[in-house]
Amino acid sequence: MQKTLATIGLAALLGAAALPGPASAKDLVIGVSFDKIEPFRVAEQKALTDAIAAAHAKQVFANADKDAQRQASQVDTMVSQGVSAIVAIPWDIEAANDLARSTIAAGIPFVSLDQAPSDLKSVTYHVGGDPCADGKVAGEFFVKAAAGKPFKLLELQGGLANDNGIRRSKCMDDAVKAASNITIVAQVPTDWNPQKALAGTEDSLQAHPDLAGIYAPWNDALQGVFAVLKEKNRLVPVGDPKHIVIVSIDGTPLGCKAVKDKLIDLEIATPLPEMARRAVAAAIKASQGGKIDPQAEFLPGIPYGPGDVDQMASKIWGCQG
Amino acid sequence: MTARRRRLSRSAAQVWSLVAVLLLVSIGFSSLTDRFADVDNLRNVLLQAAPTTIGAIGMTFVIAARGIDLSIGSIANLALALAIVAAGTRVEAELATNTVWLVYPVALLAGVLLGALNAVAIVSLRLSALITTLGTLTLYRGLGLHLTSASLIAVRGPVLAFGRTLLFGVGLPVWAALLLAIVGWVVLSQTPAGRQILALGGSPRSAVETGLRTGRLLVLAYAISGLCGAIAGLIMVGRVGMVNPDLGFGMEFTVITAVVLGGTSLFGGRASILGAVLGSLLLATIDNGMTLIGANPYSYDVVRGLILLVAVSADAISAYLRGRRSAVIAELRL
Amino acid sequence: MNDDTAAPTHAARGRARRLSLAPLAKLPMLPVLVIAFAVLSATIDGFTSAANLANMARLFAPLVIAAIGMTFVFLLGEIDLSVGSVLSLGSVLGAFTMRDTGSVWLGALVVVATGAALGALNGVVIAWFRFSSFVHTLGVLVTARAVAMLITGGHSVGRLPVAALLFGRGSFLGLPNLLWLAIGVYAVAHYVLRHTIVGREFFLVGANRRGAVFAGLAVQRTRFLAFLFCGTLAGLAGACVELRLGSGGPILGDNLLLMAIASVVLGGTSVFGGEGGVFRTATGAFVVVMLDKGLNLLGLEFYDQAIVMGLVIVFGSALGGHLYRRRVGRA
Repeated sequence: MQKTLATIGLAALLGAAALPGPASAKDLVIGVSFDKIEPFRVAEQKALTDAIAAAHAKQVFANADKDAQRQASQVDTMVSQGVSAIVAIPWDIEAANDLARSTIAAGIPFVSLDQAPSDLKSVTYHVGGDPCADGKVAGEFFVKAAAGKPFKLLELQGGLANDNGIRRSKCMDDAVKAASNITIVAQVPTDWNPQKALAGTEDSLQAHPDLAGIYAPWNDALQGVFAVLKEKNRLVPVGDPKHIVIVSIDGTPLGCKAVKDKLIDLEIATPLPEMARRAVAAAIKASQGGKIDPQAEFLPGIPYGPGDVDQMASKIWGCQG
Repeated sequence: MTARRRRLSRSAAQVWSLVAVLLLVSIGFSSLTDRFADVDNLRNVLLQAAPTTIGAIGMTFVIAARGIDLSIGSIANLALALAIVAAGTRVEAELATNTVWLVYPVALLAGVLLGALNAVAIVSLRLSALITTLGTLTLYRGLGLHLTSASLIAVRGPVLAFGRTLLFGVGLPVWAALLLAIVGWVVLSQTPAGRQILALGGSPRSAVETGLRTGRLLVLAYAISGLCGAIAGLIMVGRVGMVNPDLGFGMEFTVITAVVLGGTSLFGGRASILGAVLGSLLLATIDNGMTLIGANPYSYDVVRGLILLVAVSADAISAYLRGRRSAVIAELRL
Repeated sequence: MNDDTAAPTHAARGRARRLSLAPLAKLPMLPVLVIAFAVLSATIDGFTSAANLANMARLFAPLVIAAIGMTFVFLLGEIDLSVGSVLSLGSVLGAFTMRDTGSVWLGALVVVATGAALGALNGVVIAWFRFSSFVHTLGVLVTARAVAMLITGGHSVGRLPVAALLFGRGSFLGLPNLLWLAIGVYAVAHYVLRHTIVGREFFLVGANRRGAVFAGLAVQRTRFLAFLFCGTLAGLAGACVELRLGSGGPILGDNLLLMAIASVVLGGTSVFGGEGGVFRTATGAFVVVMLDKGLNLLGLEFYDQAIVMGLVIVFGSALGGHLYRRRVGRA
């Protein structure tokens, strides 16, 4: 009896409460949906906040904490709250296609940032780094560093569930394929986890003491890599005979410091502020009915090394401040 | 055969079979790659196994008391976060050298207190260990991330010392694990408190009826587990050189697998520190070996899961064969 | 421990009906739910809008379905840790099927069948081979997820037929399709538990397994069924998630275990067995979803949400246990 009453009461509550929300203000509100929070994302969030402020718009922010269902739900919520546009970093690149399509069908533009959905045409606009160009630059650097001599390379891989991880790895592989002197001794998927990077580096260095190069396709890997190298007394600056050639991607302050300390040979800096600016611009333009062309832009990273860090510093966001 | 001797011989059998499996696996990997049997590599394996081993030692006490501690990984995280904060640093800063000595005592104390808190909640709120530690798993991790704002904090100085110093060529964490294993074994099997914990796990009702201070025993067991979690956290941070948001994430499953592999029964009353250590070593060996032979990394977890299932079946089959109607008589109440 | 928990007698229930606090003991979350809903509606713009409610319903449906499955297992005093991995593996296999055959129905069937198969495995092994449910389902959790990772290479599987999304995001008579599905599952589960002999046996076996054996009940069959239901419903939950997202993946179910257990426990089903029900689980699941959405909309950081969740789990289940003991007269 009580149970039935309770059910009826609940139903009444829900029914009576299902009134439409208040009409939203006419300001531009950008719904920002992130897949997770970690240092690089924090930098992206700041870049977006700056870009949105510069465009005199407001934002609502949601973090899905690595859950595809939650991200879908959060985006749906933002749509129902009446945002002008969505700028999202998709967690699940397959689910993102349908999420984008249904958001666009509801009349809200969907811009993807950093991580491309598996079907680029599903979003209004995508802007991100160019994982393939970056991987290629890294590969070509290794080829040059090897200079025809036998060269053992450890390839750390990021998360292989998304485009950045996949293509940073693949395009680097393609670039070194032609050079028969370069052997990739291990490909270690780490899911962007520095502890796995540490374990992978440790095991590879153990298996191949004559390891000549390490490809760390994101800056946070360096913490783990450096820890191992320090233990084995191989953490020495460029030019030292024991130095292992290291190439990394991201452009964070950590990476900049590593370059300035001459601990890594090449850093490829993702142009974050530019990415954020273009994402916000496209989102606002689309929300006002403009057409977005080109529909997707992949911005190659800016390579710099110990030799030219001083000249390049002003262009690298991670070297500011 | 007395019940005690039967229990002991089962533990011994489990330990011996673990040793056998460990040897088989090692021989297998050595034949597949000549990089496995290298002294340096074996030192690496021991080092990589150290955090899990220490966690498993602590978890053995808890499982022996018929409890479970799912929060051990989160305790590692929160203890370290508290220690870093106490040492006077926050986001993206490096440790101030004059207060850095605080990191060790604060982390260890935090581990003990957080573990004890688990037991206090279980006893005073009359909750099951599973639900409580599931709640604290979430709670502690949230608190830890709150303190560090979910960012990476680089550490240096004495914090690294623990993770990276070598003693007679072997890493300090390995010696710590060895020491803790010996201490753990002594406490569990030779001290009254340890035997009481086993008694409590074997039959909680009898324990209450014979006047054991069950509440205090649980606090002891969980405090030990928390302490071990903090030590494991110190090792992990010392080695990687930073406190990262994922510290300790998923640790509980590996640790529990190691303990179960080692023959400690979830029904309580039968525990093996040596078994837990061997179980942890086995898991680390497999991980290391598979990396060296270049196996598909996604197959690690498949192998790990299958090993657990095989270990569980072996235990269940042996229990069944000895006529123990475990399902009816020993009720699993986690 | 609790092995002499008797199912409430008729007299006790009659006594309870006269006390106005009685329904609370069975549904400790009900006041929390009402208060939380009221507070969130007042403080968050558009919380009670049709769109947001539909959104919450789509989050609620797979959770409550999986939690109902978990309730069966909890009633026996057991646990099934593998539900998240079952969901993930099922969604992966289902996605492959949908993508390769173009049939959404077949794919959904595959997802559910995967859940049923794993549930049956769990049931056989735990009921008849006497494995510990905790350790065995832990093993399945690790293995099933790893297998899903292995066969997809870590990627999620998409490009499903449009019909999948049309169902997952669609509504019927004003309520989301997925909610109708959840209501259907709830109705069947409620009927089985409260109005069939099989259902009654869940309570009896859970309350006093030794007594049940001596009373001649088919204890092993009951335990088998509990895990079979749990696995099957976890699979069904996987189908819901997949239809909503339009893709399946090996990490889809990672958060499910915690939320499902929280739902069951908050609802008032005892983890020691013998006491509980699906209505309670539904209220628990509703609280979990509301907290999840509400805290999110209030702007709490994800780690602060975790703090709240942890506190809610510990104190919520403490409250439920306390009220239960008061009701049964054992303070």
